[in-house]
Parts: sequence; C-alpha cells; structure tokens
Amino acid sequence: MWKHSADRRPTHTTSGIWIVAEGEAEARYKTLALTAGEWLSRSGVRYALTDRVPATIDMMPGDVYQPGLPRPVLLVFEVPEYAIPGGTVVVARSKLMPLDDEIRIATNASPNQIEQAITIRRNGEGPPWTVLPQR
Amino acid sequence: MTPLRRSYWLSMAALVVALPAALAVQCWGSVVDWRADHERRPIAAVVGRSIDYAAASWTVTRLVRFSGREGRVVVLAEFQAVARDPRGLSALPCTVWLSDGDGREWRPTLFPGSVIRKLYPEAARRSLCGGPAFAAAEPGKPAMMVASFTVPASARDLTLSIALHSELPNYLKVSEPEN
Repeated sequence: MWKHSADRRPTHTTSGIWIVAEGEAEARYKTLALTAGEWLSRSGVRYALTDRVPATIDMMPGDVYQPGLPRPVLLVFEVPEYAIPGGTVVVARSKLMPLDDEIRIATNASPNQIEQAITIRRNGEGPPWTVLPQR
Repeated sequence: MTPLRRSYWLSMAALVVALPAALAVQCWGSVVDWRADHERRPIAAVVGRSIDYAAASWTVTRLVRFSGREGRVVVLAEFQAVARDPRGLSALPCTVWLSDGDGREWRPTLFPGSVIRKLYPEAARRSLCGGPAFAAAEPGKPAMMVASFTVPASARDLTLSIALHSELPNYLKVSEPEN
C-alpha cells in the first residue's frame, strides 16, 4: 500500500503488492523513447505497469531519453505476492514491437522487504520525486 | 499440339519470366527502402546562405546554443524554405536532428524551452519542419520553421540535419558556426 504525502492526495491500496522500482535511463547514441515496462515473475508471467496511479511519470508516451542526459525513471507494478521472488524488471521501447530488443534487470526483491505503506512525494526541484521510507 | 497443351506451355513460359521479374521488382523496392533508411548523403550548407533541396530554397537562419541547467545546453535552430508549391511539400515527412562529433544524435524537443520562449518568442511559436509549416506558406514565400534541442554541454562539433523523406539519401547538413 502507498499514499501520497498530502492527506488530500489519494491513497492506493491493493489486494496484492505494489512494486516500486527506481532507476535511471540514458540513450547512448540516439534519442529514444521507453514506453513499455513489465515485471516478469520467475514463473514467466508478465505484469504490465499499473495504470491505477499516475506514478510512472517518466515513462509516458512522448517522453524521450537523450544521449548524454540521464533521466530518473519510476516504475510501479501491482502484482500478487507470490510473483515477487526472483522477479525481473523488463523495459522496452514500445509494447507495439514485440520482437524489438528489451532489457531485463534482475532484482533481489523479496517478500521479506515489504513495507506496510510508502509515500511517493513529488519534489519542486532536484529529483522529481522521493520514495519514502528510503532503503 | 492441342490448343490446351499449347496454353499450358505458354503459361509455364510466362511464369518463368514473370516470377523472376516480380522477385526482382520486390528486391529493388527493398533495396530502395534500405537505402532510404541507412544510406545518407549530406549536402553541406552554411548558416545564412540558401541552398536548393527538395524543390525549394532552404536557409538556416540561426543555429545557436544557450546555457541550461545541470550541464545541459539548449540549441535553437531556425530555418526556412521557399518553394513554388509548398502544399506539395506539406505531404512529405520531414526529419530534423542534431548530431555531434561523437556520432550521437538528438531529436527536437516537443516544446521549446523557457529560455527560447523568453529570448525568441516569435521563434517559439513556429512549427517544426513538416506539414503545418508548409501548409501555412504561400507559394514563393518562406515557410518558417524551428527546432530546439537539449544536449549535454560537453557536446562538440554540432551539426543540424534536415531530411525530407522523398529526397533521401540526400539531406541538408549545417555545422554550428564558430564563435
């Protein structure tokens, strides 16, 4: 479960688990868009980015990554608890090109690391958001 | 030889000709497409001087960089094209990109940055290269276009490239003026 910092902001609950992945992406040679993210469970089930919350602020269609200019990325998935161990973050340019390259980033996510609640705070300057509590 | 048998052999002979011909046409089309995607033939241009390209006279009127935040710079490119038939050009896809000496390529940002809106508000209102800019232009009058980029401050030897897809592999290439 998570909630935004201001009480007036919505609180999102789930019968499963929210996975919040923070990272950074940078194009190496050419401007590119990254609009597809998935959580790939050990059993091979793919969970798409959640559309329940506007949290994937930097992976929206139209956003691009420029060579030499790294940008932070925030990915949020809603999955059942048994999909966590051994899961992998998968990022690709588009869902519309299933044969295109994708990167798979192994994680050490564990059911023992689940927080009861987290807050994603939008920042006015500096990093666009802060996830609390920080690990 | 019966008429039926003659037709059969004529058909077989036609197939021997038609099949390779169809394959050759298909292959040629693939070669043309591949060249359009991969082969590039730059036409060198200079800021402030017009040059003919794609049935129009093109001039890059400004190619400047402004310091930005966090090690970034904003690059503004203003250019125009004078064509007898600007409506004809409006149907052609146009690609604009900026590249540096290391071979990296940047595509224009969707919207001009605040520094451009502040210093060049008129430029900030112009269209990117493509249909709207040409559709709004009168025959013989310049279609004014703009592109802005965000690149690392460390980028050197910047060049602006403009390509109309019907003209590929030829494209315009303009180097950043030396200060």
